[in-house]
Amino acid sequence: MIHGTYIFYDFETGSRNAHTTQPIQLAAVAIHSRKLEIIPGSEFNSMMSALNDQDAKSKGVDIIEDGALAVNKKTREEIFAAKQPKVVWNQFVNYVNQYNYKKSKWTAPIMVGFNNNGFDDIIINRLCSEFGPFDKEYQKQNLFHPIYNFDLFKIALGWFENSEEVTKYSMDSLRDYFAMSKDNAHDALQDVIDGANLFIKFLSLQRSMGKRVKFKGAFAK
Amino acid sequence: MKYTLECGCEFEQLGTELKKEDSLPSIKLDYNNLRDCPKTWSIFKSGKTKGVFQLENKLGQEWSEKVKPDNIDDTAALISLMRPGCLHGLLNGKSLAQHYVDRKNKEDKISYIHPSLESVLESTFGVLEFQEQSILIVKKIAGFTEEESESLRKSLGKKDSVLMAEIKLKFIEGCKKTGIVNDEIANQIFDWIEEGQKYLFNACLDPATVTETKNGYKTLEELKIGDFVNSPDGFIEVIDIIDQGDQEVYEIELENRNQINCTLNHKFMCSDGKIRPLYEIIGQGFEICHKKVSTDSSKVKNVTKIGTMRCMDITVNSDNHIFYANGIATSNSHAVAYSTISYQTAYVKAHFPLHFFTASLYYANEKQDEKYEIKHLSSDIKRLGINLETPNLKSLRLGNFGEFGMSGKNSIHFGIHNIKGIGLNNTKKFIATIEEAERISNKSISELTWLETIILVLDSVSKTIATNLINVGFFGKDRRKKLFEYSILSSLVEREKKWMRENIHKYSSFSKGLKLLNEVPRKEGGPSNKKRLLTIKDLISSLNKPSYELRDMPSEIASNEKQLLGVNLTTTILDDCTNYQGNMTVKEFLEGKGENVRILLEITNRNEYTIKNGPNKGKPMAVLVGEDETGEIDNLFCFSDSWENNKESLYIGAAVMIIGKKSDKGGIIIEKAKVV
Repeated sequence: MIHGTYIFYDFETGSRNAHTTQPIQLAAVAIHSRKLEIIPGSEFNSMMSALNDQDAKSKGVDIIEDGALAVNKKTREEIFAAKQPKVVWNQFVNYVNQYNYKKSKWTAPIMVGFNNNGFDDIIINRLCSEFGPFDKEYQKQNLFHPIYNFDLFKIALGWFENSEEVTKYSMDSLRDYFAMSKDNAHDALQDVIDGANLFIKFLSLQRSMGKRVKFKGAFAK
Repeated sequence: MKYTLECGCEFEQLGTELKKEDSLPSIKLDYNNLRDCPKTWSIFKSGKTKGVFQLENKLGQEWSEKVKPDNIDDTAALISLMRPGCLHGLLNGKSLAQHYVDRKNKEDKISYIHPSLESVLESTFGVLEFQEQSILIVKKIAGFTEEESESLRKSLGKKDSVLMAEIKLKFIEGCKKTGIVNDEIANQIFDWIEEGQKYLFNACLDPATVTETKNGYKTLEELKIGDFVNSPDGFIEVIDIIDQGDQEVYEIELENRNQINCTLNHKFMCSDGKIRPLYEIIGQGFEICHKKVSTDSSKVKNVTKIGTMRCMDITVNSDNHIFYANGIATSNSHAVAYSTISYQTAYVKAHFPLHFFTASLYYANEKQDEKYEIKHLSSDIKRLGINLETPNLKSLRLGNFGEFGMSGKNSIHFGIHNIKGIGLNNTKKFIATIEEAERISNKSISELTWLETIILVLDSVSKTIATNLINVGFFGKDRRKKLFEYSILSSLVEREKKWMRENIHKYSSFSKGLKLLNEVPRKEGGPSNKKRLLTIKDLISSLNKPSYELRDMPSEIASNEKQLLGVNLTTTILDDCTNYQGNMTVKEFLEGKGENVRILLEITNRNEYTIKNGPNKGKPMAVLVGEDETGEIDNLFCFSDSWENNKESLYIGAAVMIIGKKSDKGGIIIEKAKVV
């Protein structure tokens, strides 16, 4: 049984390559792992400034793409005027650590996101590597739980892989399928709230079904 | 000043010293002449003996409530009862201890295996409790001589079945000769003696141990009843000499080179005046008292196992039962002596609970599990309606903040030193930092504003100290906000921090200070480049519009207090559950309010068992511990089906609404549990 806090987080980015993109917004909410509800007042939300095209190229990171701005409904001016990544990141670290009551890596909150395994987690590792906390031995982030990790995309894929109704697994497709509002979609905070609610639904369903399934000794002859 | 309490006890309050001059005002008590006080006996009778000598653990509390002693003899009997011999020795399917309780409380008739035993066992309601009673019995009904009685005592100690069989034969023959009891009864009596006495707790010394008497030095073997041996209180009379049979003995060498051979459970007087068994002294590095050397006490330097050998112990006629053996202050076990100390500690608890608990908390670090001890003392303290406070600025004003101390007439505060991660050295550094801040600001610490505190004090201590102090509420409420501001301060470079410190008189808020800093040229401590300028601008913006909510959450405060202090003091996770109302609190439940229970609890411990008997044999069940802000219930029973249905809700740390019934054993039988 997991007793730690789940933190559902999401980056909005200026391009699609997780290894070179510049994050432009970071948002998160905390989920009580036992009650399965969003902890009231647990929202984190901050824009992050990006480098201008010239500086980005010289630093070897992606420039902010127009397509990304259109999806995220942000302007370049807004992005360039936002807080620097280091300042935002330090606050995010403090925010996450609030939910690590025993202040050890094994009681650290558990990362949850949407397609985070293939994208956002990479950015987390990059930021941890640049600003800390970073586990040099294992070359990975040292902020969240080192092993446990959930990806809503994979959970949805697991449930619907045999479904003819759900054929696309983007957050927008799932919003449509579950009849969730798309107002403010692609705003990082709205995305994490929607994602967290879906995650809670799936986990509640799994828990209630898990009680009725006899797993133990299922392969016993 | 003399004053009289409702119970009739009179006291004189003197000076300012009890345990620690800077934390506790002193109450002078003449421990040898304490009044026989019903208020004190009510502590024993109610089983609320946490902190009372020999009766502080669960077993002691449980049996104290059962025995309900109201005099020293009863208390001595109670202490003797709590030995394996009495707890596990059975008579007619019931333990000797339970027989004693039932007979004392007139729930069972006082009966004797044979009327001839009445005169010996009358004082203990027909139950064989003391070794002395066994000796008297064999002398009376089997005509044993002193020598034969001693051989019985030795064989009980040795647990030698062959020797025991020989003595039994002798006993049966003796009974035949005296004709007081028949063979059947004689067998029964002997089995009873053997069963009841075989688990005696033997704390012993080597017979060659030397002690100084009025007539020169003698070994224990050479001592006689009536001799006077040297002790910290002068020469005291030997009133009993006991051959304890063969025991496993160790040679102990102290750092001052004194040596003694004894069993690991033999007790010695330590430098703090407490009497502890040797294994505890070695394990926790206590110093043992001795005499005639430049220092008064020494640590154990070497422990060498000698092997099994014959052992002895003596009983001396003194209150603390301490005498010098090989120049070392050693103790003999004696229930009556223990019962006197039990009464003394209970007396202080009954009349001066604030002093009693402050001292008990102060010494909690000497217990095996300090956290457990603090938690249970805190539960007892809350039950009595005494306030427990986090380390705070108020304690600074009182001039003590390192340790536990009393605040006002009804409060005990934790000290900085009691916060996890802040040791003695850090406490000293913190005090020095405060003194420096007071000097710079020309104010006392309690007059410093939060801005002055964060800039002048917290910036100069380690991150762990600063965050832990904020997290336990040392600087008051708004803990999240203060942590946030501290993190902003921490992100400044040293040159910038220095400017903030030196120019604190120029700004009235943290963000205004940062704005001024951004206008200062680099050489005077301002930002080093344009990027740094932007960073500080971002920090100001963060202060004005944080990325997350900075309102304190009760559950977070509760978690931090539990982590850092071991207990919840200002809030519990239950404070987040204001929509849920039970029909009683823990305190009300313990005071006997109602049979149908609906109670909001935090689960703090759970143990799963398999049911051994009855229709649910083989099914799992659990016994849990729960608490709210008024106290703790340590027997929440959740049986088979209920456990199956509710176990996911009953995890440690859960805030749950429990619906159930009061059990015969004083706890709650859980029917439903819901996480709230």
